[in-house]
Amino acid sequence: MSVFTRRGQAPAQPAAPAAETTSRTIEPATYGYVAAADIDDKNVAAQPELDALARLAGAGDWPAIAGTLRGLERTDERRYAAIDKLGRLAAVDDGWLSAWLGAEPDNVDGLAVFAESLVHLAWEIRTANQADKVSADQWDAFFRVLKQVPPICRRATELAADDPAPHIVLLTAARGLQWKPDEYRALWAEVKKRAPHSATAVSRAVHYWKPRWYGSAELLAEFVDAEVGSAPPGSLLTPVRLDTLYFELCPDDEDERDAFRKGPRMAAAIDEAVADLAAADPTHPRLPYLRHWLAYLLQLHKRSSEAVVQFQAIGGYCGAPPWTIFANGKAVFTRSRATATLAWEDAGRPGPATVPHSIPAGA
Amino acid sequence: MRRAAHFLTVIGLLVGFYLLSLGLLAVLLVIDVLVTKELGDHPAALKIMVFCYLATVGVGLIVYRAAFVSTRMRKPPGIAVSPAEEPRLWARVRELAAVVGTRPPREIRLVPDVNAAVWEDTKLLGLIPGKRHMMIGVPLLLGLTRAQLDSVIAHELGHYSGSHTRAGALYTRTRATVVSAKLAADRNQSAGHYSGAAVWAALFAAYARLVLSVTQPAARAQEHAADRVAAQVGGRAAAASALREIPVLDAAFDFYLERYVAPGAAFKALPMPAQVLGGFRELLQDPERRAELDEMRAKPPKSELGRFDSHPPIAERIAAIEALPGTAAAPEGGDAPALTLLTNPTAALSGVGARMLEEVSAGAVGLEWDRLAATVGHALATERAKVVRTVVANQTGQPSSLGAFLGLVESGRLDHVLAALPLSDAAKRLGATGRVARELAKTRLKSYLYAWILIELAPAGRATWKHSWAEAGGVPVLPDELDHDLGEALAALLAITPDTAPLRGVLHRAGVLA
Repeated sequence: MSVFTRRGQAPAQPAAPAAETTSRTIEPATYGYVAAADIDDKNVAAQPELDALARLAGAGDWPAIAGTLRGLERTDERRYAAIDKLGRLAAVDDGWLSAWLGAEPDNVDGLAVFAESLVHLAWEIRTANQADKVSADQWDAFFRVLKQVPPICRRATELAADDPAPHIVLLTAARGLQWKPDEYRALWAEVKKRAPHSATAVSRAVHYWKPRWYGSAELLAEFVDAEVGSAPPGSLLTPVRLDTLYFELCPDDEDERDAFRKGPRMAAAIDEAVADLAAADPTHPRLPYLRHWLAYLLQLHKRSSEAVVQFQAIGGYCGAPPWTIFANGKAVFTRSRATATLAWEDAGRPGPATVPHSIPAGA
Repeated sequence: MRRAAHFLTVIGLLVGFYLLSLGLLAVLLVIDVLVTKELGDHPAALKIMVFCYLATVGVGLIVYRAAFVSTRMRKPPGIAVSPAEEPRLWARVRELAAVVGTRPPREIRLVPDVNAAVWEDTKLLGLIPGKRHMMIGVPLLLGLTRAQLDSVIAHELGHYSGSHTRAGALYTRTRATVVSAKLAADRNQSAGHYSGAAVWAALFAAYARLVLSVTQPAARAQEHAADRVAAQVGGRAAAASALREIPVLDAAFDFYLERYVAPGAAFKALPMPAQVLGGFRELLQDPERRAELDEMRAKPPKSELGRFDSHPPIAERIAAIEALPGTAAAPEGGDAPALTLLTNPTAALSGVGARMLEEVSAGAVGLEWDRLAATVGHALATERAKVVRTVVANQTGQPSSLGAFLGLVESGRLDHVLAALPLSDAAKRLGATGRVARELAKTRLKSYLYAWILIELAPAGRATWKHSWAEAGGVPVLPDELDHDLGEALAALLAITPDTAPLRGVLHRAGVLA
């Protein structure tokens, strides 16, 4: 009869935005888009470097993996992306990782991947279900696995005090381990010392401050304003603000929420995000995340020519928010893309979007 | 006029049932005679004859059960209490009967159910009244206030007041007849002893459905009428709150029996007679359990009513009661616990408890709660430990021992042990494979291993089990330091890289491992 309660639950899946009734459609190829059937809804973008790591892991070639990680700067976001990817892979099969750590027990990259793999394994056990749908056995295994993460991160930090990666891994583990807000703030200070405006770190830490975990609307807004507001353009933190405004800080009432999402506060956040994108390193691994949000919101704000540019840059991927939050992400993606494109056509194709030269316009 | 017509319809249905049954029996008997006479020497004769006889016996049994379904119980549950033993209770029931305007019962029985009922040994299809009995569930006495109990008793007596009584008796009788025929037919079918069982089951079920649907509105109207009587007597608020409280008590009592009384039955260890039901009161008063009960009251469990339950849904009944005119307030003193109606509660609880024990497990020993927790805790831990001990014995080919288990882990065979354990519900539900399955298996292993270690520690008095209402089935008790070290040692053993040294150390220091 005793009810096992834990914080943290998946948000109720929001209904897809209402379709704008139109019988008109677009021919994706005309605009350099990928056809609906070929769109990948699992990945955020093409990630050849991560795919290469996956092949190495599959082949058990840990020395090559170690070499790849060694070649990246400690604070390079590509390194965090690689650790995340390798952690996911090891959560399924850790043979290569065990071999690696067996040979190089003090390799900080290896330890970071080890810690990250346990975070992913723990969440595989817990699932993303609401807390009350997670069984006692699942909680037990979740906590047992997750409790092993902080000692590994501590060990890595002893070996390389200025490395942000172990702390970034710990951001997710600490949330699962129900750290108190003060402990979490202290951890965040350690992250900030080592990686002041890391998009990976902020996108992980923001969950802690959501009302369904250990925060509130106020604490969440405070965190987002502080982090996104202080980051120089090009840091690519702005998707966090867009996401938070769209899903977390919006009014409960459906009509008010619609108006809010189309309103001036969102418009200002979009402007901020456009400037962020313009200043960003085009090879930054977090950049596709921003494009997905911008494509969706620019269309919603009737900035169709800019939206078309983003949809063209995104290509055939929709495995990222906001699409992944909707019940049928791919349909929302293609509808949003078609709506933006038709609006752009109706406006007489104003700049800056263009139709690819290789394909006859208006075919 | 319409009521009279409906009444006649129901009589017709009851008579029709007997005509159907007797007709069926007559036809089967004729067939039996013919088969016996004509097929005397035929090679298949014996088989066919047996088939026909069995069909006849089957139908005969169904009809017998239905015809002699009696509201009289062969072995009534609980214990009867006399007016001399329980004068206050009797006085209250008589007062309520007078207010309701019906005869008081001649017998009051206290029973171990979350229920109250009045029944009569009627004659001639319920048309001639007989001895009236009342039963009152002890859990109601333990969980309701006096005003709430008044309303429950008044509801039951209300079934015997007013103009609907005679018709009600007929309806009740008719429903009981066809339902018991259906049940008897179902039993025959599932037992599979009698020829044509499936056909009879379908036939009697169809007739029962017809009767139940015809009498359903009247049956529900009677319940509403009885609720009105209850509200007049106990006050609207008490009548409504009793209806809200009963499903909560029902769930709590089931939980109580299942978690605190039943587990020991298999090991012939049960609570002392007075505690069998007395424990339920303690559970209701436990602070943690009270919080849970409050939660249940806020979110009442969905009652599952059959399509033909005579009772309307509880929410509907409460709404109807609350819409009644007149006073809502309970009579003075109504807030006192219903148990205060008993003059000798200890004797009553012991009497009913002893009766329950006889039924649950003859020859069981009655134990104080802590002794019971220790006995049952040890027995259950032994069962749990057996799961892993069997695996260890199979994999080492030797009698299982903690040392042998640790040896398996140290030789890199923990994964084999994990794979040999039965899948947990969580693993089944997730369809878990690979590392997720392994981690979930470790969670199971931890619980089996902990149980095993407890029973190894128990003989030297290093571990025992203590009773607790907050934790069902008792909590293991061992010295704080040992408990802490054991927790750490199990965590090290079940870590991604297993380490047996801490557990070896703990077990060695505790004297259960060389």
